[in-house]
Formats: sequence, structure tokens, C-alpha cells
Amino acid sequence: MSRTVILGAGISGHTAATRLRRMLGRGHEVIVVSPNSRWNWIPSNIWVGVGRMKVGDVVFPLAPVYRKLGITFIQATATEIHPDGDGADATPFVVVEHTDVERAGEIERVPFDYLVNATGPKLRFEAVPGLGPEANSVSVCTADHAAAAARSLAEVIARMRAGARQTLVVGTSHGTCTCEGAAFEYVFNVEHELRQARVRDRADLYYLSNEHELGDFGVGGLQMQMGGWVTHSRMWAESLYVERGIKWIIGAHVERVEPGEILFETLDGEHHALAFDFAMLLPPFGGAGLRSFDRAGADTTAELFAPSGFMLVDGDYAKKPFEEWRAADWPTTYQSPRYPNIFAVGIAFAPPHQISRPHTSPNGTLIAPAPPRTGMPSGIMGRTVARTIADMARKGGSAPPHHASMARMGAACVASAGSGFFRGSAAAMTMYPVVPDFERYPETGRDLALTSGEVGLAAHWIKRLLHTGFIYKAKARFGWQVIPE
Amino acid sequence: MSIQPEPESAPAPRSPAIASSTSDAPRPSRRTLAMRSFLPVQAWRFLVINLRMARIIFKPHD
Repeated sequence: MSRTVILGAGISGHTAATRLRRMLGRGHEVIVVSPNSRWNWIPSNIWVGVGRMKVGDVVFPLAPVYRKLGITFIQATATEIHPDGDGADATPFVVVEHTDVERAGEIERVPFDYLVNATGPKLRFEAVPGLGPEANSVSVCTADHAAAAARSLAEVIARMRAGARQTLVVGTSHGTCTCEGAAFEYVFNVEHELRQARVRDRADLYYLSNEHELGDFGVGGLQMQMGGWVTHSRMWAESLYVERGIKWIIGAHVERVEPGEILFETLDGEHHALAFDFAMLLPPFGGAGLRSFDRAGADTTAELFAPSGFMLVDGDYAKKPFEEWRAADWPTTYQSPRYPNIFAVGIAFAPPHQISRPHTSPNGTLIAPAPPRTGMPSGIMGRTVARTIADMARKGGSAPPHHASMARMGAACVASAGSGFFRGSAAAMTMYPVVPDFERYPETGRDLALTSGEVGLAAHWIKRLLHTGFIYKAKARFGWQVIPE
Repeated sequence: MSIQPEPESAPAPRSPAIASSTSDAPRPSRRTLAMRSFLPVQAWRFLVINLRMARIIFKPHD
């Protein structure tokens, strides 16, 4: 009988927990540790951020779902991993600090046979002075942040209705941010809301991004087939921005956000200022801040984690130039090289390098989008690790691991550009694989039959279907297990 | 990739932001714009995109 502890209940952690629970008999214990009591379908935070959905539409309480499935839920933050136990007891354990009202601050040791680190990102607003909802900009990273962003947007729209001209900025902040797709999606939703409110002509709308060109999305852009041509996503994205009258500033690293003014550097080394009335800037992500210790109590964090705080797994972390990057550098089992019973999935694993070519300004500022590893890939990683642990628990620790490289998995990114069953619109992008593989696909790095982009009402329906389907699945309702990741 | 907060230093000279708003990218024709919301076409595209996503989902990952 085994005990698996899963740290985090986002897309990857929740998938790992629910799939593992189904694969193993009730004699095996599955425990989820998450500081949040609610599950959040983060892709729909965009709709909360423009006031089209309420927080309650994108979150639900985890405890009843886990109770129904027979998963133990501990509402707590994991702070330490002790993979070798401590003192005379060699049983591995994690240290957690409870966050629920009844036990807030209480420290507990949770022993494990298998550990899955699915802690997701720490939102590092502090990396850019003045950034974030506690300071001078808004965010859509959590449902509550998004609700606050919607209130700010409503105030700006009210001022425009009163006749004022307003400047709205949406994008990334730090030069190493990821999730450009979310910023892309939000700027088009904001643009749609401004048109719906009949104030578009009073708004200057900017997209500010660390991408070195539009359509990079942190994956080095895509080549896709459109109208008989193979076209780069830069042309596709620029066409959308021109069509909607959105101005763009790219290759930007935000240095500081003052009240009403963004100070940033661009790839040419120039420093700029942009005044704003509304700014939604995504923060850079870091690891959750877990520390690890050996049996004697010595700190081994640097052996298990990259300096960014993300966990080292089975990737090739050797430093090498962009020209030498290979698809094979990417991890496939998400297993710690030091501890085969410890895994990291979703945002929690350390990527071996960026996907998009990194750039540095003449001042030495790194402006390089970090690789996205959310959504569909996160779910697939969670399921893959669940399969590995299920085999290990049933057949013994020597059972071979399952594999799922980001260079062998695709992704669908459906970026809403306005809501409404008949008036909605969205940009649907599919790519295979996420990490380009120039050995398998020498011309473009990706399978052209599966890499595409198109805009239309159908994509909006898909976005809505994904919202409904994935929340249904996450609630473990009848037949949830047949819905793929 | 360790992220450090910005160090305190003398303020750099700043210029107003220069944004791009035009490009040589193709713009959709009126027909393309109309097709984006024409229900029979969009019902077909809904099917096509879903089939493409299904192919991606069910491809082996190892």
C-alpha cells in the first residue's frame, strides 16, 4: 500500500490526483496539499477580468470533490521536502503549514512514498517595483485579481462615457515573463468591451510585450498553413492588431510601474515612459519557494531546484547556445534525477531553456519569454506522472516510467476576442509539438497539418465548450474520466 | 533564470514610447470578415478545429 502526496491543486496537480485515485485501489492513499480551498479554471479568468463572468463561474470548492473521490485534502502550504526523512526515521516527508481558518499557522509533517510537486507559479510582482494589484497595475492571474481588474476597467469605461480619453495598456512586465497568450487574449477582450460600450474611439489601446515580435507567444512563433500559404504567426498576429486598432510595443522589459506611468527598456537599449489610465501587466513567475533538506538537516535545495525555484527533473540542463538546443533536451518523465519517487509537473518543473530565442539589450538586460507550460501540456504531464506512480505502487519502484515530452505533445490555445453566442469571436491556435523539433520536422519544427490559426465565431464556441467541459471534469461529475486532458 | 528585483540606480533618460500600429500584414477582406460569423461556415470550422484538437490529443506523447 502506498501514500502519494501531491503539492498543488491546479490543472496538473488536480489531474494527477484524480487520475491516480482512479488507477489505484482504495488501499492506496492519495493526499492533495494546496493552500487554496478552491479550484480555478484559469483560462476563463480573462472573462472575469472584463466583467463577463463572476468569480463563482470559474472557481469551485475542492473539499467536496476530494471527499467524493476518496482523496485526502489538506489546505496548507508546503514549505520543506525531506526526501530521506530525518534523524532515525528514513521515511520521506513534507512539512506543511495549514492555511484554513481552523488550523491557520499549524505545522504538520506529511509522510510520503511518492511526491508530486505541482505547486504552480509564485506570482513575482515584487520583481518589478510598483507592479501588481497591491500597487499600480492590475492582474488576471487569479480569479480575485481578475474581478478587481474588471472593476478598474469599468471605472475607465465610465470616464470615457463621460467624455475623457483614456490609455489602456495590456501585456507582460518583466523581460522573462511567460503566458503571452493570456495577455494577447485579454487585450482583445478589452478591445471588444470598449466597442460594446461604444467608447472605442476614446481609447488608446496598447499591447506591451517581451516578445521580440508579435505572434511569438513564448514558443518562437509558429509557421501555419493559411489560404494555400505557409505563414508565420507574426503576420497573422499583426493582421489582428491592425484590424482591431491595437498599437503594439514589443521587446519590452518593464523596469518600474509608477502611478499612471510605465517605465520600460526595449531591446534596442532605449528607455521609455508610457502614461496609462489602466494597465494589466502579467508578473514574472518563480518557483513556489520549497526548500529541501537531507537526513542530517543540511539544506539541499540547490540540488533539487534551479535558482528560479523550479524543480530539476530529467531534462538536459547543460548550458548551450540557442543553435544547439534540441527537442531531446526537454524532460519526458518529470522525475527528479536524485529521487525517482519525486516528480514535478506543470509550471513547477524547471524548463531546460526557453523555446523562443532569447535576446539581450545592449545594456545587458535579458528579454526572453519563458516557455509556457500550462493548460493542455500541464494536464498531460499530470496524467503521465499518475500512470508512472500507479505502476510503481503496484509493481514496485523499478517499474519503468511513462513518458510525455513537450516536444511530443501539442497544445490548443483558444484566445477569446469577445463573448456572445452569435457575436463572440476568438483566435484558435493549435500547434504540434509545443517545443519545435527540427529533426522530425526540418522545415518549420512543427507538423503543418496540426499547426494552425484562425479567427471566428467557431473558436469562441470552442472556448466556451472548454470552459464548461473542463469545469465539469474537474468537479468529477458523471463520466469525467472520458474527457481528455 | 533567476529574477532579481531592479537595482536602485540613477534614472535613465527616457523617451516617449513608440508603438507600432501599421504593418504590411494582410488585412481581412469584407468577405473574410463576414465568413467569421456566418453560421454554416462557422459550424463547419467548429467541427474541423475540434477534429484537429482531437488528433493532437490522441497522438502518442512518448
